Amino acid sequence: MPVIAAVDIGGTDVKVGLVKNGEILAHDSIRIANYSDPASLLIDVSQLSRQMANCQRERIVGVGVACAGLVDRDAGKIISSPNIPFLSGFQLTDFLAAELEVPANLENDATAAAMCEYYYGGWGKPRVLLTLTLGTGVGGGVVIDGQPLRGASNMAAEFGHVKVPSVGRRKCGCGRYGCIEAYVGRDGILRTAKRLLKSSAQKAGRRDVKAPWSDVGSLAAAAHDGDQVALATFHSTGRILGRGIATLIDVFNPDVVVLSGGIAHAFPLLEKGIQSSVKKFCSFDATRDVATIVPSVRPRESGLLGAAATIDWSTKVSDAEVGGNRASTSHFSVSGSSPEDNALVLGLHIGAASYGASITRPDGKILAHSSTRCNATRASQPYEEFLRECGSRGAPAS
Amino acid sequence: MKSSCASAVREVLRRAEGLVTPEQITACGVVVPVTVPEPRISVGFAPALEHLKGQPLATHLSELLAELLGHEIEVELENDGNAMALAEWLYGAAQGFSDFVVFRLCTGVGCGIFTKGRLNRGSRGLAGEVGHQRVDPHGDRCNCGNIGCLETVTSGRHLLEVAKKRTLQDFQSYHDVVTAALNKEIQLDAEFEQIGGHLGRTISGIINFQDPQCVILGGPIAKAYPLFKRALLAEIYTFPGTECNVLPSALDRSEAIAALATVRYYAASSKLESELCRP
Repeated sequence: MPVIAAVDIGGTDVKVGLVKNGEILAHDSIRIANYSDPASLLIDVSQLSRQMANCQRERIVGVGVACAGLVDRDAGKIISSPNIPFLSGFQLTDFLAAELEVPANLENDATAAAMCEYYYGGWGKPRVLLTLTLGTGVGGGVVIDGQPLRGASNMAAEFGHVKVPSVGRRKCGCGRYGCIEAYVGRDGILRTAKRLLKSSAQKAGRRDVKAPWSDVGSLAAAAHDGDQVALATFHSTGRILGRGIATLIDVFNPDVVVLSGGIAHAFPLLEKGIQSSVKKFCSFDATRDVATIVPSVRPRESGLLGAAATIDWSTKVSDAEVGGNRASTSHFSVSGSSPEDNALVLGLHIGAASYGASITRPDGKILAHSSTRCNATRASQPYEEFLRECGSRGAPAS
Repeated sequence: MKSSCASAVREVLRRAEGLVTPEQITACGVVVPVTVPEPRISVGFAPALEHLKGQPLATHLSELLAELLGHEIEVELENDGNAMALAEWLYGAAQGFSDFVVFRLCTGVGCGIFTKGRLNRGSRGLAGEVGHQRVDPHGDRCNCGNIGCLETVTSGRHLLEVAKKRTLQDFQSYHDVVTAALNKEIQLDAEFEQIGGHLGRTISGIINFQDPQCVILGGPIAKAYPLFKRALLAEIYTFPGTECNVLPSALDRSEAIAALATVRYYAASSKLESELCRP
């Protein structure tokens, strides 16, 4: 059975996994600190994925790589990798393709995360899907009709640097002022918390208080325990994030906006703030109402699944098996659309208040349909009359 | 117009004229809000459609269709909630998922449960009959005979009744109520909040029982999801890191897709079984 080898190159380690139909079968990681050149690192990555495939008795049909930093997908090259300098400029896909003897694809990690949400997130078939990755920084990705948006210089969807003017003048890591990352990034949230703590202490007449939290995790725990400053921090963060999202909704008219990354775990704390801003700043009801803002269902898996999605996307492996079932004991699956269009299905829908009939193609296209509403309850209708009109012949013999 | 299965089939054939010939139709999926025990030929309980109770509907329909189409075809009968789950799995939001639950909010409340990649029909085809779970012991009598079923407080039938009472307008169907409420022509905040609360508590129980990857809300009432989303989500608590999304269905004309999915699912299923039984 075919699987995809997924490689997620992060800051400290490289995660390697086997993905089949949007499910991670096995995964492991390699510490980058032990390597100093790309070739030996990637040889070990290939070896590890081959071993895993052997253990699972699966055949690798493609290898997808998601990498932080600037990548050139078409050339299969990492342009610059701030975390792993020795990978900068390296021709990665050719190397992996030669090692594993299968096609290889490279994608930026944020774009890959967006593709993971699009293909495996369970959001149906959205037209436009946006992701915001909330962590140390704020990353983003856009998938439109199944196609990732990369931009002219592979830098599209830097949502962290959408400006929200008039909230304040906090300087961002990029050197400019008013980026949402300066407020919604890990450090930004802690700065807001410190500011709120200071002002609440001043109000209470105390001069200097020490922050009881060291990171966003403990801040979220404090908020869950009812700490007012922590709650206010998340509310204010949510409001600023909501302003940014409102801008994105106006620009992209998305049907789904997915928040992923570590901080997305605090979604319940952020939600109210986000919604109030989106309601206030979104310009059109029609765009606002269709946009669902949700936390990712599989935030921890987005790296590997995103890497795998790059292969699924390019080869449409998913077409081979509709539904992608994983009942491992029976390998049950419903095979792909039948190639012949003439095998049609007649659908009959009998409801308590309506009748309907339809003719559909195996790929889900509805060729014709009709429905009739009956406003009275038909419980009194005789069974024979339910099958066919009276006056024609009687009911078929049972 | 008197409606019947025969007239519905004739009508759709007439509309598809020029596009489709009857010979091209190879199977029929029948989606009904009744329970369908194995081997899915006869109807079990039918509180909403009393006249179907116990009838060998699949046999009768295949005879009827042979007459109308001029050739014999396979008829697959399935409960509407189960068929909806198959539709979401093959064509909708649950593609690629192995464990999920689908609610069909229409005149009644249907539900389909997918476990480990297979439709869970239960021992007698009754799995997922959450519409008849009692949620209010002091509530109204349900058409199943019990008192205070989920259907009595969340179904389209209930919505139509309360909307008539509350707005003093003579709505023809709950579809009109949903449309009017979404267009903010009528105010039914408290009613939708109640619907959301009841559904949320039921879904919360199902999440604890089944551990699904997601819960999908389909059917005409689910179009009003924005109106009861907050009340529904307020009832659901999941352990940190095990969030389960509640999503509105994105399927258009879901009954047609449900019938198609039923046919394809059982065709693949019987193929698998014959392969497993092969010596």
